[in-house]
Amino acid sequence: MIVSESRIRLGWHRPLYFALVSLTTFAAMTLLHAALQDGGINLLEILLLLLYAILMLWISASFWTAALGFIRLIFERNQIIAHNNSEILNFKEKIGKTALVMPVYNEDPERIFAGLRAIEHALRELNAQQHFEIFILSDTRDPDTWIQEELLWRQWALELGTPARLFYRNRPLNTARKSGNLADFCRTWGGRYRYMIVLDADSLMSGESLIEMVRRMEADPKLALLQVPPVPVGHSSLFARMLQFAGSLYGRMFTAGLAFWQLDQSNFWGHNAIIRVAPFAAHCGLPKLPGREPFGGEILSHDFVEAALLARAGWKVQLAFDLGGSYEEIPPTLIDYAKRDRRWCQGNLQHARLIFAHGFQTISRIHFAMGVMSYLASPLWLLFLIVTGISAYLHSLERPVYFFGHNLFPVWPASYVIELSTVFWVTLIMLFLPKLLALILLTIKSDIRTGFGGLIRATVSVLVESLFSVLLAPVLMLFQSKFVGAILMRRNVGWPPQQRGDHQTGFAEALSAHGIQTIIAIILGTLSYFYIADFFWWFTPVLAGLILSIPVSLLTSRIAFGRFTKRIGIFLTPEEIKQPRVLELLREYLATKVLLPCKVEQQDALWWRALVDPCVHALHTSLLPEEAANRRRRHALEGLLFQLQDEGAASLCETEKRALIAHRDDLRVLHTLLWAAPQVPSLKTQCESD
Amino acid sequence: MDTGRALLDAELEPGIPLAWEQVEKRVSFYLQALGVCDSVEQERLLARVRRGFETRSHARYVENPLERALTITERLLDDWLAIELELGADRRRLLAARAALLGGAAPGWTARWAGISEESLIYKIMDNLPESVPSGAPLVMEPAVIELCCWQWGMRLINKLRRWLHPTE
Repeated sequence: MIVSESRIRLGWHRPLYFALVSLTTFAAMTLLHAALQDGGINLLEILLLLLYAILMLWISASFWTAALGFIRLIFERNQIIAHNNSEILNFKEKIGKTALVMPVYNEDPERIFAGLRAIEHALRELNAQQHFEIFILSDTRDPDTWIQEELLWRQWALELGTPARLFYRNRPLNTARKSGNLADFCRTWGGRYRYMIVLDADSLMSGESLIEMVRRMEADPKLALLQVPPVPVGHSSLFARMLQFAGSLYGRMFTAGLAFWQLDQSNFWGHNAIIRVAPFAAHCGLPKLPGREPFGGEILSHDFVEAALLARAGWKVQLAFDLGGSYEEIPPTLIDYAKRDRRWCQGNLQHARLIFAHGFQTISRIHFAMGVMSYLASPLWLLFLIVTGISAYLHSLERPVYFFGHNLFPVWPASYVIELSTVFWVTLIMLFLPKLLALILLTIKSDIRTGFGGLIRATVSVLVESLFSVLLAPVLMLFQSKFVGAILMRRNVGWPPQQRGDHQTGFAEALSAHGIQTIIAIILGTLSYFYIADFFWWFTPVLAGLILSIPVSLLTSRIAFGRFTKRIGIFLTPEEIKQPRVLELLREYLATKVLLPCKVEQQDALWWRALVDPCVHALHTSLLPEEAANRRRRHALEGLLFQLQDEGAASLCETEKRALIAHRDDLRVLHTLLWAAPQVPSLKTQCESD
Repeated sequence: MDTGRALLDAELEPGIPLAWEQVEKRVSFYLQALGVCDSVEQERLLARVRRGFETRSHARYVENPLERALTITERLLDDWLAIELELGADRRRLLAARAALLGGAAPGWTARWAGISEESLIYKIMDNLPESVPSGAPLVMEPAVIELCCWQWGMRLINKLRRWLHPTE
């Protein structure tokens, strides 16, 4: 085991954090207990106390993370991304090559390559490109996307020239999804690199940050993983701009706070992190969990587990909260956000089984528990509201007795309004104080303030964002409760790709996503108004969010509203005010039309081109792995070819189209057969194009 | 080429082999798709394909003539590439060279293939071979052992309960 010097030096961080969280929870519980003890505590109230204890622990953990992050940012220097030339030169002399790996799965190839080109360009501007090799680790199943990836890779590889620094491979089988994809990379090429920097399809990282990440890894041989928190950027819808603002402003406090108490046993967020390859390969092969999906089988949220496995083996995992230049894109609409939640929810709930697994560090168990709680909190809040409503209803049925026995004067029932109000306000303060702390941070730190458009605009932005977060919270609560319920009932969520590009929610989509939520709110609102009038008014923020869910979902998805708020200076972020170089480069590359090899047009059915166009076919076959001949497979493919010829391409599903172009030797046979068929393949030849 | 015969026998009248004139047009179109646009080059290459086609037409078994002619065309290209680039039996590099060639790495290659040009293309093609992955540098990555708490104990308990509830199973 590695006992680090920093752990001893910073040994008071964790006790302080956990003491603050425990004391706050205990104090809030004492208040609620005092308010409930009138006439003893019944079963319902015990349940209420239990739920409140769990939720309060969750809220205070989040609150103290933000508060400690706030203090840290006040007293510590700001983000470091600038380097002088001597540092870069020093860096270049020291290290070997680092792999920039991007696992992709049916993502938009143009965005993938524009992003990677921007990163490579940023490195080139620092003359450090020769120290990095780029790997596109494709798990793409969609046949057209697959061929487009290959063509874009080839074009860029030709532009970069030799020696090759840009690599591409598509896995024949996407076993174990993203973690399997990375493991396959380590098993096949891991020995070539000391470090790999893992990127998501929408990740962007500045050249300076990439260099600094490698430098920090070189400086600490016991550091196995360094996570650089990504800032959300790049979308224009109102929803995305609100999230980008919140992520940029509050996110920095939270990450500073997380780094404060997590120390050398921090977490992995799946991308925008540098990993020491050898220990990763030695310790992070993921087993299948016993039992059936959704709780058994492949580990879906692999990142937490990989960080825990590295920590278990005694390696350091750190969060570089002070390092900027790390970006990602977020879902552009509320419905996309919920869809992403559904995918993450299953993976995080699966971690419940790992909390008490043998051998993990305590802090890793806390990470697992927090991951579970990030989704379990919603159904618990829902349950808390239901129990509170029932309790309020039962109280409303009780008639107070003022005169006992021979007493001359009435005995008034004890009032616990003060205690209950305190509980309510304490909870609200803990939820909203981080936003106030963020504004205080802006007041103190002028350099950060200008990045958010000044204090007045930032204050208005925080107020509007708070209003929307109140409206969105109950909607997300119902969504997440539904997801948790579905998973507990053992319904698998699959692995659908994300819709990352800017788009807007239509009325039909909003109605189908939020219709039930609106009906629930109307029914509950009517019942509580007529039967528990006192409770109704406490309940209105939740009801408002649900009743307005359709218009709010439509409104926040609008790009025009997002742009309008930008024009009037609301939700501005430092990345919008002064666009980082790598983001500028991304815009430029997205705007540039890339000419594909083989004179292919983007609108072509590319899988078909891979079958019949000799140029695309030759490139594609050269990238396919060698396989043993298989007569049964060839027979099946022959059947598909009959179907293609008799019933047309539309009769084939994506899996069948992929099968036709997935096997090297069979594909050559199919190519010849199509050209030998009675009908000439419809194709514009190279001579015609000229 | 079993599959080819199986596929096309159904569409062609059995026992009536197509003459060269009937397949020439298709081969010519295929050559254009490969990038052979010059008529002189096309003529020369068609003559070579025809030689192969007619030699093989004496073969005992009947195969689809279109498929036969196209296969000969493809082989002609591969054989020429293998000799031009001194590739021997390295199939992986042959496929890469074909991709580079058809992707436009060596302008004027069709003249060389047709035997009109004397200019060697070896460097142009070899410099542009697609290199999609570097040579392997494997690491061992075995699945880590994660012992879940109470899993075995829980499974034993569930199995006992199951046996108790359904003793006949």
